Amino acid sequence: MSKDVPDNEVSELLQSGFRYAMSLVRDKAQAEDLVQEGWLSTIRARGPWNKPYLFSAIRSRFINQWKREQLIPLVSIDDINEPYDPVTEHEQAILENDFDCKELESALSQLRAVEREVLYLTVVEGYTAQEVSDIINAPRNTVLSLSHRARQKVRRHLQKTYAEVAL
Amino acid sequence: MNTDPLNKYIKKYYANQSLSDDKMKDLITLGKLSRTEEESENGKSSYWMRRWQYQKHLSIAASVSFVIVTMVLMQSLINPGLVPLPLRVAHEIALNHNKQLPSEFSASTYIQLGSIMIDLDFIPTASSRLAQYSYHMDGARYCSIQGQLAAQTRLVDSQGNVYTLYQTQYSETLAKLSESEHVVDGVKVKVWREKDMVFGLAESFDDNLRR
Repeated sequence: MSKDVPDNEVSELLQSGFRYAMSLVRDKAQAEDLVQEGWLSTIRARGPWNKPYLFSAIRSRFINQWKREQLIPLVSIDDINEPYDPVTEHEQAILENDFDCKELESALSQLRAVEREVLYLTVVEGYTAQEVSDIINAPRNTVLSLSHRARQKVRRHLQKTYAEVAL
Repeated sequence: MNTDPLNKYIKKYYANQSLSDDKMKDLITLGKLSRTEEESENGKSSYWMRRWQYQKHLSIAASVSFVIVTMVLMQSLINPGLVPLPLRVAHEIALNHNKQLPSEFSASTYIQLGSIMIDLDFIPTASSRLAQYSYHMDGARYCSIQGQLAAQTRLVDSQGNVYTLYQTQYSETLAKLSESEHVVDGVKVKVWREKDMVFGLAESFDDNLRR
């Protein structure tokens, strides 16, 4: 490991790797295994000590462990032409006042691994669609489509949940 | 995209997900260990050096395989039927175990081992079958099982009994390997498959071989 990388940066890198792994598997123990294997792979390769490399190592292990077909995004590029659902006032109120992490977790569990992955990379890591497309090896339009679809699914799930609670 | 209020909550959700302190400590230590090794090597571990070491291990593996294959062929000539794969593997493991070769690597955890045994095609892991037993790792070395590069770890239990645990990646070569238990040359050998790995545990009956 490079001498120049201080502990706090390593710690941040590992936390990001773990959160990325969580977006893929949602199970803490499995995510810890994935980040450990990705980290070992990075150590063996003697770096580079950055997120893209660690994420790539984690992703390749994830693909090895789970069937690839579950991860390949089978979304038509035409899907990106679906109209974007504007956030309703009711939804805004839910998100701002009554938000519950468990509900979001439940909503995320409805997504496919690749949808959660795209959501994590764009929202949390702040990658552009092109950067995500390079990471997940899929066309940029597919990334946009996945992101849009993931948001719709999450929003619908939250709407449904809160509607049931209101009843 | 950034104006979507969902973003804030997705960020908040993932910010709440954290590696446990113990795991974080382990992984940071692992990185430091690799740095220490790197420094002690003083740049000796170049690509070609590692390549040479790999070839050396392969040569040893090939020699051991040759001896084993010869033994198996001889046995096949004596006995009309072919020696089944589990028995061949058990013979190979017993032979390795009885050699009591010194450890090449000093490690006490599988995490450390994974960072040291860089020529393996897999990451050495603990078997869940042994989780209930109390033992400590006392070093490891490369070996081979049916010509495949494998890891051989020396385990010592609380009574001082020495066991050798072998592990290699599951492959087509080992596809017919069923879970079995054999006694070969005074060594009790258990062989099993777990996830994508094949494990073999050897234990001597002869007290002289125990520490």
